[in-house]
Amino acid sequence: MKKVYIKSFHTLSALSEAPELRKYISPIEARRMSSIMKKIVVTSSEALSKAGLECPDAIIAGTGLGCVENTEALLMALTGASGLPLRPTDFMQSTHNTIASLIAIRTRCHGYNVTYSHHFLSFESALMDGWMRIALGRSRSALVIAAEETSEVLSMMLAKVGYGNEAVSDTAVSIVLSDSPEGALCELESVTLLPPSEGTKCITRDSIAAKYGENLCVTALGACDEIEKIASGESKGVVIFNSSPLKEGCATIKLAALCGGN
Amino acid sequence: MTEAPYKGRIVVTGAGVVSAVGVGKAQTLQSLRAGRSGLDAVRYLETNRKEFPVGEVKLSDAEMLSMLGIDPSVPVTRTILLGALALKEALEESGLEELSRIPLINGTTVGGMDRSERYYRDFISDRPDHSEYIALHDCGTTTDRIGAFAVSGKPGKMPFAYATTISTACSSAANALILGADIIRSGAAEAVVAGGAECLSSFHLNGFDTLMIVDRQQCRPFDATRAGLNLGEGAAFLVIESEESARRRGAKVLAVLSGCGNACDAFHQTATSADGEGPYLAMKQALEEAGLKPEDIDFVSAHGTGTPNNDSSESAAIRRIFGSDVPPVASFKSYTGHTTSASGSIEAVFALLQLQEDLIPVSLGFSQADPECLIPYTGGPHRALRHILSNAFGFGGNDSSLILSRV
Repeated sequence: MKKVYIKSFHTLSALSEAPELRKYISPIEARRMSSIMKKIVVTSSEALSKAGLECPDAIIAGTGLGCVENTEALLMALTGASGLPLRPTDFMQSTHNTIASLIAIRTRCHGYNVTYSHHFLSFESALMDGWMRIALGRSRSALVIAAEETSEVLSMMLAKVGYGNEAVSDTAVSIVLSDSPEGALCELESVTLLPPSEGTKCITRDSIAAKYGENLCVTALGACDEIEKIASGESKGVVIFNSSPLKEGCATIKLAALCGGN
Repeated sequence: MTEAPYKGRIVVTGAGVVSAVGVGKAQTLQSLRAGRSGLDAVRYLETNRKEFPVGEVKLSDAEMLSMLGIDPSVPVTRTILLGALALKEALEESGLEELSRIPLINGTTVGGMDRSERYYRDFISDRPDHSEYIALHDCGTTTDRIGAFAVSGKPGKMPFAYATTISTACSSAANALILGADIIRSGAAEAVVAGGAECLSSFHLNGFDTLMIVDRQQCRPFDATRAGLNLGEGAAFLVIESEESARRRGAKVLAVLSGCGNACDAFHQTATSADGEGPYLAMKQALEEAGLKPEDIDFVSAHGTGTPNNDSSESAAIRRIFGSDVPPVASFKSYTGHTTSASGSIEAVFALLQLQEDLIPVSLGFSQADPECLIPYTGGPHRALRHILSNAFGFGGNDSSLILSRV
């Protein structure tokens, strides 16, 4: 099995300044894109350019609820709640894989392309696949995406079933994995959908959500903070443990400094 | 990572399927042998669009609850019920016992949409009515519940090591099998249960109709008069494992998953390129991984949805792979309707049955050749089936191919 390295990342969260969209997307393209799609174009363009890659070998996305704006518009039209007709664009963009597909079209990437949608473990599912593909030598690089869109209606619905509705916000994260340590920020030692071994000191989902607000893919933001700390020499390595009282399953990500330090 | 990668063969030791042509493998085989389509008028879906023929599983939700021994007051969705029926059959056949070491990978896109569309006006109101279905809406919860209900008939804890969900539209289940194979290759698990489940919903029936690709007559894959797809529903799961693990447990090997390919057409969100670049790359990769030449393939189970665009670009891609020597090709969409996210695993189970019975079901709905398309198999002698190439292509250009081989 090969070692897997993190080459670059870019995030947009509740704490980020709004990006200058014109730099990335023409006004004509922007008209058909939902807010989360625009954000993912920004984070993916930035992460790929920092990694010096035009077209990664694989594009792997994770999103628990996909393009919420389009899905809601279609449901409102379908149930007569909006009084509007169904729009084909809403249907096309309501499938969760529309995000990874858009990035593939923009980068002309014909390689492996998959989208995971497993509630709060969508990001880790995507990261696990990317890590495994590179470890097995099936891809040399992978763009891993985490995306969640929010809306007022969704916050209200989630509050009804026990999620906090206080600080939800769109989240877009793009991370580039590679089999080469050259210029890498850190090593991605492992990703599993299992708990860490007993007694392991971990960064938890709750501590990350305290900083960014609750969001299905909030651990992707926490992971990027830890990657930064390792790259700057502030940390030697970390274990991130993701679990939630509201759904089944958990995930463990292990990050480590490059051998010999930075 | 301490596990060593596994380099041996990946075999299938259990399979379960439900679709419009049957509940379980025995009924399915009877329909395929008889050339009997499951397409019919809408019977179970709550819709005012009764003009479309559909491939519904011929069971009401209440009947499925009873077959699974689920308390009828427990909230479920139709996708969960279909998935649990198929998963139960697959697990029983495999004889797997220690599920706590086995991952479950499901492919779905619609998830709990059938209930969400029924109760959406309650969801968005300040009334609490039907809010128990909000938590069942998403794809991941659908997978967790399929795992729990199939094993215990209860919504409680999932019995598997972990679960995850792939959502690449109509190639979701094929990609679930591809991930499963990689997990076995990585050494992280010796066996994986993978497949997909999807019920019909107005959300995607009416959604596909906005793209003007739903036919009001029975679909006619590869025919000159084809005018779109019919939607179907169903589920299928396969137990795949390392050959060593199957031998050690004394499990019966049903087939070999000998190759997989995944590529992106990177052309358009919903249309396929004219030369079928994504489909071509997916089939090429699957052949390379299996170590097979195109002439080794005895049957191509086409994605063949019956839309003008899919069938011509898939034909172009198949011709690029096979040249002038194209093996028999047919699409099951005229039997089951397009079972969307579940189609990849449903048709993988059909391939198992075909290998076992040396059977190529006749293409239904074909009468007039289209110069842009291949002519599908309509009967006559064929080579003994050793290797079947099965295609599943999705929106977003998510194209996947699997090769299943006789043991």
